[in-house]
Amino acid sequence: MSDFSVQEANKKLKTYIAGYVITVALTLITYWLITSHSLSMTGAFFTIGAFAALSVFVVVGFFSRMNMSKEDGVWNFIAFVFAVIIVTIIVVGSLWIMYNVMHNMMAHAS
Amino acid sequence: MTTHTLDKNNHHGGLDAKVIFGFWVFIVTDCIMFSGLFSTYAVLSHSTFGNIGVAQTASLPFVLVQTLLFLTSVLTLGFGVAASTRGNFNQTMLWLVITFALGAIFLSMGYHQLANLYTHGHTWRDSAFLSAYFTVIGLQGLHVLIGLLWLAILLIQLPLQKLSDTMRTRLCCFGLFWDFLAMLWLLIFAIVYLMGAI
Repeated sequence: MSDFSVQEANKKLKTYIAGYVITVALTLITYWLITSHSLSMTGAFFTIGAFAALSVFVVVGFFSRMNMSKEDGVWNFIAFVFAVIIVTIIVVGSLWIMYNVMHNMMAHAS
Repeated sequence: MTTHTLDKNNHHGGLDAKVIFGFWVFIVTDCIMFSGLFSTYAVLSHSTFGNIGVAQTASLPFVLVQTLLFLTSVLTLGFGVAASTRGNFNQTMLWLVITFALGAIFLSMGYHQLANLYTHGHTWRDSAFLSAYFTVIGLQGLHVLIGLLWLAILLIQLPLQKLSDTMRTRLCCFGLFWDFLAMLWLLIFAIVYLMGAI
């Protein structure tokens, strides 16, 4: 019943190892960039942002390897896009609102 | 032949695609919950109310070791999943046990760090920052704990049911869950610890 496949297993192994090497390299590079304090405030901010975005991409693409391209994987893809949209609305919306709230409170205080 | 073609629509390499899709949707909802928590943390991260800030919660090398440990456990789990795809039962078990050990070390490091903060009088009651910090780190830790319990159950079930299609589907779902936890930890590493080190 079970159809085992050496070919499929080797394909998986390759992407897992590639994903591991990339995430570890990203982690170490970002860690070194931040702890060496060689970046400006904005530079550090964007480095961390890029690290966060890239690691999400690598985990989903290389480790989870959800089937998103073929006909039967289209719902996986739709669920993923839905998550990205909702997460963006929550995070960007919250930070935008709270930034403005704090800004207005400070204006009244001074 | 007909059954085989029918099978192909729902099964990929013997795995139940519907179950995996259902679990994927659960991860999506979990992701949405954590986006709220991360936003809360970002808003409250400077509200320390005279208590410690993020730089005093844990040393960065300690957190880096935790990160590398968890990423390695994701790789060893990947080796286990690949071995199950090949149909090699013993190797699957071996890699899953190693994954369990790495996960347990990661979790105990996190627990000791939080317990240390608590005993030194820095609890979730003491500032808005600490509330947000304990919530985000604690909830990720709780997920890892649940993941370890799940893995322990898989380790009991596997010798009984061997690498059946059902067991391999469960293993695939667990893999998705564990990858999601790694993603959460990488985001914690970036948003909590690295942002706090600028």
